[in-house]
Parts: sequence; structure tokens; C-alpha cells
Amino acid sequence: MTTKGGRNRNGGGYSDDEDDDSHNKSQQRQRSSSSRHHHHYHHHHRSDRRYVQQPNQSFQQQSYDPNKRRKLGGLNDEELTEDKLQIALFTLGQKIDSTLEQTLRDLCTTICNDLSKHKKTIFNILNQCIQLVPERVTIYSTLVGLLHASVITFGSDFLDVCVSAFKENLLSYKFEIIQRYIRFFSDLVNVKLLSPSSILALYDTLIEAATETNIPQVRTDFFVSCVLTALPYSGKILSEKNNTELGRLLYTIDKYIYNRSKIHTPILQVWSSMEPHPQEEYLDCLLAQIKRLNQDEWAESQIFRPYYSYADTLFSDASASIVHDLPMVNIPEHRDGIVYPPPKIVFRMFDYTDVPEEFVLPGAHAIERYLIEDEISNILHTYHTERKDCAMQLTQIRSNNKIPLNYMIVEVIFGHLFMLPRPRHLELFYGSLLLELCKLQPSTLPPVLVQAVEMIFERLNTMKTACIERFVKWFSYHLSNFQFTWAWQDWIDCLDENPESPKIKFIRETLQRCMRLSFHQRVIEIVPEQFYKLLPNKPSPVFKFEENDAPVFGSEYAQLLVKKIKERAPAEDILRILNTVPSPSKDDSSLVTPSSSTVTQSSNELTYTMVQIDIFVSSLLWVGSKSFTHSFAALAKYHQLFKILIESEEQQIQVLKSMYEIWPNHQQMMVVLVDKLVKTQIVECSAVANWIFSSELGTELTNFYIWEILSSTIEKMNRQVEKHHNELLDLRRQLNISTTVQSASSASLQADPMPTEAPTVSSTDEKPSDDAKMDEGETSNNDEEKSKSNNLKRRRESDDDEDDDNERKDSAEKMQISQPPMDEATAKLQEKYEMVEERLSHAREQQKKLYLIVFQRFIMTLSDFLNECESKNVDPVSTPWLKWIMERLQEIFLLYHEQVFQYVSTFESLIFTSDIDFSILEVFQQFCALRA
Amino acid sequence: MSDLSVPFLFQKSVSLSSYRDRRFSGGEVEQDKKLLQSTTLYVGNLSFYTTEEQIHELFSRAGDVKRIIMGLDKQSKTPCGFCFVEYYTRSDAEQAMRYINQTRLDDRIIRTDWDAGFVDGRQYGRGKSGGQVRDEYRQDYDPGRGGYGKRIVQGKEMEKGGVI
Repeated sequence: MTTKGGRNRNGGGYSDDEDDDSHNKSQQRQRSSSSRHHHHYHHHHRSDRRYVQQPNQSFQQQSYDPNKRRKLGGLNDEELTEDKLQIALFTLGQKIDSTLEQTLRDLCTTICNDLSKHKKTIFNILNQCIQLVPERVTIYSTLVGLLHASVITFGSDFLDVCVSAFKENLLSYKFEIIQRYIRFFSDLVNVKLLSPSSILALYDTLIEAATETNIPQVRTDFFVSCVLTALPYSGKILSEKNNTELGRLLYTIDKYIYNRSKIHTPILQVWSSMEPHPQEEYLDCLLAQIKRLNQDEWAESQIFRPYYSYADTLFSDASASIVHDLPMVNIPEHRDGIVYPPPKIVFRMFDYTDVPEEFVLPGAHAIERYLIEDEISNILHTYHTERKDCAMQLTQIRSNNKIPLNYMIVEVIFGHLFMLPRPRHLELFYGSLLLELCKLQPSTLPPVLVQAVEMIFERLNTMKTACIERFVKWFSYHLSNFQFTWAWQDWIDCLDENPESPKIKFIRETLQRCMRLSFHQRVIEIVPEQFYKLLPNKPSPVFKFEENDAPVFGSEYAQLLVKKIKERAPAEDILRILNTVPSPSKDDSSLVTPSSSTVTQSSNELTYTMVQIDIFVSSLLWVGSKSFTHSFAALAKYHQLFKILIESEEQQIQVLKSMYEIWPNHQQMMVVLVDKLVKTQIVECSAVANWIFSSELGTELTNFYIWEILSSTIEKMNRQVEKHHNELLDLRRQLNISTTVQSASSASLQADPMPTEAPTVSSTDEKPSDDAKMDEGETSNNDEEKSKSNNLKRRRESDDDEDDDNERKDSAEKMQISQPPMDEATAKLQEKYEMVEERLSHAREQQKKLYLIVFQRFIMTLSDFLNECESKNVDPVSTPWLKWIMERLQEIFLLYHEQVFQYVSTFESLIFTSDIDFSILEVFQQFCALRA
Repeated sequence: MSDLSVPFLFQKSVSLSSYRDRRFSGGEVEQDKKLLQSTTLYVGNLSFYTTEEQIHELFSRAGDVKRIIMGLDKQSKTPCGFCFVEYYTRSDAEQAMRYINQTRLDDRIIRTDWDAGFVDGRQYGRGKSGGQVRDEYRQDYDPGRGGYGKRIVQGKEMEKGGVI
């Protein structure tokens, strides 16, 4: 990134490296013909047989996906037309140029010629375009208008297809597509295909849905927003032809929006402060923009309206084409379980004073601001899978020269990145997109980005913790792509602030992430000396049992274990040594589990003490401390031993404590180790939650990695539930199928594709066992270990393995199912169904328990803090601590609202009761309002 | 909504490149099939000094990483500039192809490609000298990948020997 000082090393850096790469590639290619040993990776665009055979010479500029058509024998006429049209229509208007007018005319002629033969295909692709490429809707309506003017039957035929597609999407509640059709229909008024009165009738129908009672606000919000977002397209013509009705419509919308509840707004706002810009509720803002547009007599300068270039064809008085009425459409009724688009806020970080003088940033309530933002958002969504195309499309947005397009692009991208509850796309997408934009516009975009970072930095105090975390992750990633160049000295002034203050925390966490993307020494080199106190510690392990003058209790055992583990001793040997560890002192009950003297289960083994577990875990992690792979290999090798040693939650927490003692300076290591411990079921999710809130981690609680661990743990729990849920759905489907098949007295279950696919699945699925997997990254002398360690039969398989095993078992079962007569197979399926059902309900219980623990521990921790503040006469709101923890509670609610909402009544009656502090209860109430 | 139904527009980054593993045991059709279902990526042009930790930090931003296998020099058993990253799901691996390919790690533009799935032995460089083949013949000086190409170094040493 170019810094304020104007250093710009990056623009060139990219191309240099790419040249290097292609240089290497061409070398390899040259050699490939002569060298026998050619088995190297070289990447050039596919130019093999299949590609050459693509019958799309006229569209060579498009890189065509070779996987799309597998047939080598050429395509039939229909497919050929489909390919040709698909490319022509989807790329229509993608580039700004003066040829669009002619291209549209030519395309119209081509389609007219093909229409009688390929009507279905043409209509189908046009509908796809309307659904998938909303940012070019006016180009498609122009084309449709031209076709309508050229072919007498086109209008009514096409309308029929469109309306039925629209109805279909209404019935299946595809909200985004519904909205896109409504906007398209509105624009068809402009090309004289639809009558203004019939589009008004559609608006009235939608608004009527807003007067229903006993339905969620999010439903009515959606229909109202559909009308508001379509009005910029149709408003002008409606105000000329049906001004009274339009006025009445606006009045109804105004009244609705005035009366709606906005309790949900604060929890969605990126900044808690209204200064310098209010984070407006989206419908409030949109209504204000539309009202302003109405006052301006619907004159706007942003929407690209190519139809005006065809006045001779479209708007001549001699035109014989008929204006159609849009048929009446029924809005399907509300059903429970429909998830409507959630409410939003409008993210704004710039105003006109922030942009250079030659530009004019449209005001917050100017319709142009909305229209450009909407176009940017649409492009982000349409092209989110291709970051380079996405960047290219963004820079080609048509706007007048006064619009500071880069400011608006950066604002919208940050708005998406910070969106609560979560961004629409992967955070990494936005980061990689900004990189592409910097590459495309190396002199104009980076300065805007730098300004944005500075502004966000200045507003960190009121920024939501979840958003600060995303900001840290993006910023460190961005820096890592620009040699970590940044004007750090500009931030020196804040270094005297409270070490927990948002700005200091931001810098500290950013440096931590920079280290994770590079290495410790590198981070030391990138910052001025004054920042050294914020640098992460060197991420080295700490082994408390190391030989020194004052050895701690158990050192001799630990050292013996280290030696044995290094020698790859079998688990039995390790266990034997552990069994010789005496309890440190009989009366020291804090170190011994309460049940330590009782005999467990069937065997005569005692539960292992915290000391024994600590010695084992410390020694094992110490031996594996060289890398992630070494640590994972160590855990995998002694997995069975873990299963013998660790039973109770207290013991599980001890594993985590020992890990923390070895790795207090390596946050990323802790993140991946906890992940592994949970995945391999050595530690349960609830133990992680309890550990995170334990007193040992008290001072760490405001550090971001702790929440990285908690979220990842919660997500694993959620995924587990989801997995069983999907299995159940799948079985339900199979059961239905098998009964249908049975009733049709078909010979076997093979009608069901699952069993026939099963053998392929298992053959491609020959994954090595967990032990083998973990060892592969290491050197070869591990191989013999594999067989040794495989001799130890594990009591429980790891999560990874369980999946594989289940798959194998599944396929095996499926194979069997197809053998015996039907009723037996069905009975087996039924049996399995019940088993999965039970697993699911067990997982749900676990999930509920996990959330209960998390919320309970939040309340305890927050209440303790509030009490302490009271006794010390400190205003808690003035402390950064309260912000960090309270907003994490908010974040958990937001991130996992789908899951939390399932158990909301339990939480309400058990923990979020009136006796807890109101500031905590308020978070819960705001959360509940999200669905109201 | 099936917003990815137009492959030539929206699936370019995840489609297969022209590279095929010549040592793959099976036909091209089978290899292609595996590549299209794969959850494993080959990652190239890494610095020899780039660690598993760094790779994990970057690639876990695309999804849950199952394992990372560092490419090692066959002789020295030290990293030689490539690795395999395996994800739990295809869609996470696709995200990495979309957003990580051709971006930087350790100040180098790295390259990702589909891999048919790790098999033992693949972690070693296939060059004569133990590293990757590309480092055998490389003409430029690349401090992140052991300086000059191995053949060039050999040539220079021979030259030197001749002079002395």
C-alpha cells in the first residue's frame, strides 16, 4: 500500500514477479520437448484439443471453460446457439464503449432471426440475465424493448415467460430475484412494453401486503423495499402519467416507515456513535432518498438508460407495437419458518469534505448515492467468484466525472466487510478484491485506501469489537501484500493511551497478525522503536519442567517422558511411567480430582491426577514443539493414551491449561491445537468454553485470539449438529424413495442412485488413518512408527477418521441394502434413521449446553466486573474492558443467531432474568428484536 | 439461487489448468475426475523459508484447513518451495483457488492449483538435485529459493574448478 509519504513500490512489484513467473514457465515449456524428466508444474491458459474445438471463434476474447462441454464430437445446433447466445447476452454491455448502440441493434437482428427456431433457449437466457446480472438491467430492458418493437408477438410471449418465472420465485421466496424482476418490470415501462398503470398496480399489491397484521416486520419491510428500489427506474414516467396514484403510494409508504420499530438498529451499527455520520436504518435512508427524488421531479443522472438512443424505434408515434398490462400477481401468504432478509443499516464513512475538491460526493440522501452504492454492491455480488473481473467491472462503472468513484467503491467494500451479523461473502474476498483494485489503479486507489484506514483508525473508540477484528485481519493481510509498508510513525501519538484502549489494541492485534503472516523478526523490522512495547512476544515454547537449578515437582518424570517420546516409545511405556508419578501431596486437594480415589468404570484404573496429565501433555507438546505438523503427529501418536487419561471435564481443562503453559507466547499455535484437541475429541466444546472464562485466562480475555478459539469451537459444535441434521434429511429422502420403489414393486433399491455410487466413493476415499496422515509431513523414518502406533487400538476415533469410517460404513451398509429383499432394506434404513435421530438429539443437547455455559460465564464475568467497579467507585462504561467483553457477548448472539434462537426461551427463563444487570439484559433484548 | 450457472463467467478461477501429474497412476480421465472433486491444492513459488504456520494463517482464511504437507528436498529434507494444502470441503478449497492464487505470501506471488490428492512420496522435490525441477534450471538469482538454479551453480563451480 502506498503510504501518505507517497512511497510507491508496489505497483511495479507485481508485474516484476509475474514476469519472472512467465519467464520460468516459458523455460520449462521449451525444455519439455527434450527432457524425459518433464513432470513439472507449468501453468498457461488451456489451449488443448477441447479448447480449440470450441465453436465460438467470434467470442475468442472470452476465456471459455473447458469443462463446460465435454463432448468432443461437436455440438448440435441448439447447443451451438445456446453457447453463442449465452456469451453474447451475458457479456452484453460489460465494457464501456461507443459500440453498444450498434451491438444492441445487431444482437436484436440476430435474435429476431433465431427467434422462431430457438425461442425457448432465448427466453431462458434472457431470464437468466435478468436474475443474475442486475447491474445491467437497463441494457437488457433496452434489448427486450427493441425486440418488442421488431417482432409483434415477442412482447406478450416474453412477458408470459417472465411473469411465470417471477411467480415461481415469489412462491419459493427467492427474495433477491423477486426484487430484480420488479425492477426489470419497472424498466419495461420505459421501453413501452408495459403500461404505467399496471406497474402501479403491482406496487399497490406489494404495499397492501404491508398492511397485513400479525406478520413479522421483516416481511413487510421486504415488499416495501422492492417498491422503493424500483421507483428510481419508473418514477419519472409514473409522475407524468399517474401522478395522483404515485403520490398516494408514497404517502402509504411514508406512513408505514414512520411507524415501524427500530429496536434492532443499534446492534447492527458498525459504530455506536452517530458522529460524524449516522448509521441510518436502510429503509429510513431509502425513503428519504426517494422523497428527495420526488421533490426533484424524478430527475437523476446516474441510471444508464440506453433506450433513449433508440427514440426512432421505441418512441416514434408511428410505432405499432402494443403496450401490455402486467398481469395481476398474488403475494403468497406468510408461513412460519420463512426467513426474510434481515434489516440492515447504511454504512457511511465519507462525506463531501473527505474527497478532493474536483469531486462532488453525492449527499447522504441523494438518490445518486444510493444508485451508485447499489450498482457497486450488485457487481460485488455478481462477480464475487472472480476477483479480477470484479475489480475490472467496478472500475468501469458509468458515472459522471465529478463522482469520486474510488471513494464510493472503498466505502461500499468496507461496508460489506463490516456488515453485521456477518459479511455476505468471505472476508478474504474483499481483501483480495482490494488488492486487485490497487493493481488496476496503482496511482488513484491506494491513496483512498490509506485515507480510509486513517479515518477508521481515528474512529476505533466507538467501533464494534467484531468489526475491529475484521479490520485487523484485513489490514494485516493487505500489508502482507505490500511488504508491510505503512506510515506507523503517524500513530505514535496514541502510544501513551491505556494499553487496553481500542487504538492500542488494534495496533497490537495487527502486529500479531502480521507476525502470523510473516515471522517475529520481520515484525520487529517493520515498526519504529516506539512500537516495540506492542510487539508480540517471540512465539517460542516454555517448558517448565526443563532442567534447571530449582526443578518443579515432576521434572524428573517429565524429562524421562520427553526422552521416551523422542525415542517413539509405545503408549504402554509412557503410561507405565505416568503410573509411577505420586500424588504431590495427599492433602493438596486442588491438584487431585475429587473422584481420584474411586475406581472408574469396569477396569481397575484410577482416574489420573492433574499432575500426571500436566506432565504428559507438557512433555508431549514440548517434544512436538517444532511445528504444527510435529505437534499434530505427537497428538495423533498418543491419541489412545489421551483417551485413557482424560475422562472428566476437569481433566480436559487441565489439558488446555498445560497447553497454555507451554505456548503462552504463540497464539496461533493455541488456536490450532485447541482445534485439533476438539476435532480429535480429546477435549469437548464445553470444556473449552469453561477454560476460556477460567481465572487463569482472566487477563487474556480481551485478546482477540481467545475469541477466535471460542468461535471456532462453537462452529464445530454447530457443524456437528448440522451434519447429523443433513444425514437425517438424507435418510428421510431415502426412506421415502425406498417405500415408493417398494410400492412400485421394483426389483431392488438400485433405482436409488446412492448405492450404485457408493463403491466409487469408497475407492476414491482411501485416505490413510489419522496416524499416517499426521506423520506424512515429516521425514521418512516415521514410517515404521505408523505400524507400531497402529497396534494401539484407539478407543475412539478422531473426528476426521470418524467421518471417513462412517462413509465407509455407510457405503458398506448401502451395498448390503441393495442385496436383501425390500422390506428388510427399509427396516435397516429405518433402524439407521432412528440411530441418527438419536445422535442428532444428543448433539442438540450438547449444543444447547454449550450456549448455556457460554452465556452463563459471560454473565458471571460481566457481573463480577460491574460489582468490582461499584465497590471501587469506577464508572464501568469508562473502561475499555467492558466494551471488549460486552461486545463479544453481542457478537456471539449475532453470529449464531440461528442456533441461539432455537433455545431462546430456555435462555430467557434460566439465565437472562430480571435479576442480572440491565446492561447485560439489554443485549439479549436487542437480539430478540432482530426477529420480531 | 443458482448464481453460478454461467461457468465461463463465474467459474474461471476454479477450473482446471493444463497441468497434469505425469506420475499419476491412472488415465487422464480418471485424473481429471479426481481433480474436479479434489479438496487438495498444490501451492507453488513459496520461499524456502516460508513456514507451515504462515501457510496455515493465509489458507485458513479461505476455510478450515485439514492438513498442510510441506514439500521437502529429497536429499536435505528441508522445505524446497512448495506444499499441499488439504481442506475438509471442496467449496473451501475453491475459495482458496479464487482468492489466494496469485497473491503474496512472504513477499512472493504464490500459485495454487488443483491436486488429485496427496500420496506418500509427493512431498519430495522431483529435481535431480532433490529440490523442485524448476530450481534446477532457473537462470535468475532468487534468494528465497536458494540463490541461482542448481545447474547454473554446478556449471559455475565447474568453471571455477577449471580456472584453479
